[in-house]
Amino acid sequence: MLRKILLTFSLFLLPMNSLLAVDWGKELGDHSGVDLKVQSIMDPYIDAVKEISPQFESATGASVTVEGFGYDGLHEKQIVACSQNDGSYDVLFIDGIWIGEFVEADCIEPVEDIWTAEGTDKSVIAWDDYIPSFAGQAIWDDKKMCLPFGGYWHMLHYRTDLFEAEGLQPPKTFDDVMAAAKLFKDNPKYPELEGGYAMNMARGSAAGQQYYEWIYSAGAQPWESNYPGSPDAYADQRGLYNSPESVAFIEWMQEMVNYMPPGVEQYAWDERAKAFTQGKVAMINNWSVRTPLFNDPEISKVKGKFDVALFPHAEGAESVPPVGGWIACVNKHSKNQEAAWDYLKWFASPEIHREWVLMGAPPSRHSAMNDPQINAEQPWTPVLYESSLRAWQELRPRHALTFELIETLGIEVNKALTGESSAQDAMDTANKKIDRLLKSEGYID
Amino acid sequence: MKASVRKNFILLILATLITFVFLAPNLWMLFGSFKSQNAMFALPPVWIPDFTYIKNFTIMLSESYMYLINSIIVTICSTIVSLIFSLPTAFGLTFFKFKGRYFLADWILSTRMLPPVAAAVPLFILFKYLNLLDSLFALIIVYTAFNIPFAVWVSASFFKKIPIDLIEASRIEGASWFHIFLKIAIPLSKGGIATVAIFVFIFSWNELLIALFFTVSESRTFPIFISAQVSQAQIIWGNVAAATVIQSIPPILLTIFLQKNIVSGLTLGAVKN
Amino acid sequence: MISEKIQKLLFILPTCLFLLVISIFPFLYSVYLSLFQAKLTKMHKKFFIGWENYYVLLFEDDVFPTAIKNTFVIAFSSITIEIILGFIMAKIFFEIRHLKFSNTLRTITIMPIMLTPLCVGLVFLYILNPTLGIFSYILDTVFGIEPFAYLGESLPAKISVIAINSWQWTPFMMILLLAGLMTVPNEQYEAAKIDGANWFHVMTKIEIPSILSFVLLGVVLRLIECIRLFDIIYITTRGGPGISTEVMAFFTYRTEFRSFQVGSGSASAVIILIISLIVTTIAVTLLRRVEKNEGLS
Repeated sequence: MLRKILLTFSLFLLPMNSLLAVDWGKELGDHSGVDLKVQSIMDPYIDAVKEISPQFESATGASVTVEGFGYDGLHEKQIVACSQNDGSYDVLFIDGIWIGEFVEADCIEPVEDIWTAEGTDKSVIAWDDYIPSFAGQAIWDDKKMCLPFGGYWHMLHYRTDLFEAEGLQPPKTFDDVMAAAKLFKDNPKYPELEGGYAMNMARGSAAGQQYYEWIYSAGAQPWESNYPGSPDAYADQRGLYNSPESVAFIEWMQEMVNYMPPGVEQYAWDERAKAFTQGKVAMINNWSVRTPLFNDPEISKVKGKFDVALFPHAEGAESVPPVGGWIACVNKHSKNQEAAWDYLKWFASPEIHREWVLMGAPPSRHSAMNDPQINAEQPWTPVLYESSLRAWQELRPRHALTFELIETLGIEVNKALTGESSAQDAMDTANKKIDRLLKSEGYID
Repeated sequence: MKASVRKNFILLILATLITFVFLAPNLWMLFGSFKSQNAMFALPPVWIPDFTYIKNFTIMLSESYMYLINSIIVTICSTIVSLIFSLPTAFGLTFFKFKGRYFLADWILSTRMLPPVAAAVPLFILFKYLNLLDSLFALIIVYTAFNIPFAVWVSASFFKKIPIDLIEASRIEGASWFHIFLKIAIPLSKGGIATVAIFVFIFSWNELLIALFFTVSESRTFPIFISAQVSQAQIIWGNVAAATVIQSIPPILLTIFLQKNIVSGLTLGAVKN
Repeated sequence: MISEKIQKLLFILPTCLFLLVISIFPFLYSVYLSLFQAKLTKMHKKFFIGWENYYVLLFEDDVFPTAIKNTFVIAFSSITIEIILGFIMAKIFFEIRHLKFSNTLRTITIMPIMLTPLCVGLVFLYILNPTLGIFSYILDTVFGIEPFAYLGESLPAKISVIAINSWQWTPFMMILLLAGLMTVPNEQYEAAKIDGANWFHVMTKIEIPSILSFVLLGVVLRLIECIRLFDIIYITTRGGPGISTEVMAFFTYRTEFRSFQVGSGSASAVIILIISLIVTTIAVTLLRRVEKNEGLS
């Protein structure tokens, strides 16, 4: 009863514009006969996209096909196709950090242009309702290119049962993390554990992204003008990958490897999450999109046995939780641009976003973060909200060379972690290669 | 006598063990395809699965039957087109006496040995200009080109077995080269041509690299579908196992037919049976 | 009636033209493109930089030289293993060739050769799962060896790739050498028996000399395959960990189609091409010689 009162009450507290029901009949056109194709990552949210799309079908008469790909495969397919003027897919869900490359390849019809031309109602877009650290990922060249919809932030996930048994507090600093990881690794009391912690260490994107996820919280910065709050992160891109702080961080990771499961050098997103859901590690840092899965008894053995905390930080540094996530773009070469745009504004609108989140997808708007029902179903939302407000939108570079840069970095980081080279050598090489790459396209002199 | 029986027995056991080494990995995947994801990775292993559990196959096929169809179309077409180009050329290189025929044959052979990865980007650009990207047609053309040299050489090695007197007799009777090719050479080399066709079929069926470059959505082949399952998102092993089994069926069945000629084919006709 | 000359041209010319367009043009275009700084997603903005791509690949970067080295390490180790095991297997199957089942066993043994390399990669990816795979289980329960990441650590990953590659191709070497053994005249065996020669003598003095040309042929053909080694790497290790299983074909693919640097990628393609041409020349000369001798038989 109290809960119900609270719920009713809190509904009034929400920003009204975001929950005013949109008259979709008026807002959406008739797209009978259009077969709208959506190209997406095969992340856990994709089922919810498939589940909610029939509503759009019945409202507009269009049929919607959502196709999922793996991370690297998606990037490759999307950019190759649209740079060759291919319009096979009308709606492209892209990783926010790919935006520079997609704009350069002339793949995207900027949403800002579309809605200006159409005179779309501001409350349908509700841009201010997006959390800034994520909304920034859809902006390039000072223009809103795509609609953000699936914002992810990193949180530390830890096993409450294990931490309670040991009388430990959730880790706050790197030292706490290492101490706890060390305690749980090969601990005869917990034979099912294979390691204390798991990170993404696989060569390429996985390890490269991992570096960026941690580097700010380690008190270092990847290049000269990129630090949380930097007014122009791309002003001076000369690399600081081999700075003493950065190398110290890699050395910290090298030590952490000892407290991780065997084979962690090959872990990417899936392996990291699986190690946690199978109860093989006590802690992971993970994108919020997978958090609901950890409570799904079909695939998780740790339902109800974990909690989340703010991303850890080094002594003397602040926690800068990683931000990432997916933005929806209209393919410039699509033959169904009107239907594509209608789908976008419908799907990303606060109302549908809320429904989508309730199907198990990640909340990405202020309104969703504050929604009591979402808070009830995804109890980690307060920590997530705090993480999202602390995050730094230029966490990873977003220009046209991003993918290659991260992969190059990921190879070197992985080399250091597998012991193929020392931390210093690996990061010296990484810095040299990244500088050369940026020079070749004139990003630095 | 007894010693040789024992020797044979030991050798037979050894041969069986060897066979097992080359069979077991595939068998394990085949068994895996009839297991649920959990059973696939259960410890201790589920040794014998429930063969009535075919969910992996039904789910996988419902998602991917169109790619399977693409693969079948591309494979069959490129096999036929390869033969249409190669057989006459092989015939010509065997029976026409002209200057530079060895050089020509060597040149054709050498194109077979060049790595496809070195041709991928230029072909990609070429097909872009022809507006043929992401089409089955482009794949057929490229697979045909990569298979012609093989088909020419191996077919030539079979044409050589035709008694030259037979050809010359027909020539004296005034038969055209076309006539000799269609009415004498082809019928006499049926077995050989079948060998070539099977090889070309398997090569096209197995191809991954070129398809990775050229296909986006509509024209994806079955190997592309399978490899997409293993990218860094989430590996659904049930699907992967079922798809692997289906992808492996044609090569395995056809190998049985190839038996006699397999050495000859794999060595581009250098080794006769 | 069509003139003799035109008839003959019709037999041969279409193939030549086809190959010129689809096989020769691309290789020439690769050479051209390798002199540019070019990105596939914005080809209209490419610009000429001369030998820069080659210089960077070969002298400034460590990845491509490592890829060349790895390719040859994998090639030579695989081929050596294949020859040794292939010879032993050929001997066994040769000895039992008259027995029942020997044909069936041989047919099953050679199946990996024609199997889709992609599937071979997948089968081993499944088996070699470090914690939950059957290989770990057997190693642990039978030999008491702690499981580790076979594909996740440098040396084990390299060894795994070599093992997978050899697993697929040892049967090829076996049937090739088996065909070779069949060519040894029976009288030689008889003569050796009368002389009381032991098996070692038979092997070194009779068998090996007569199958040497088969071995050579096998080596050359396998070398050509190994230079293009791609599928297995693509599925199992993706060149990792670090760059310990990076090979030439995968590196080129990665540069051209993941980073879209087609200028630099073409340069590496051209280098592979040159290496292939050398091996190819040897191969073609060999095959031509064999062919003039009416085949190895």
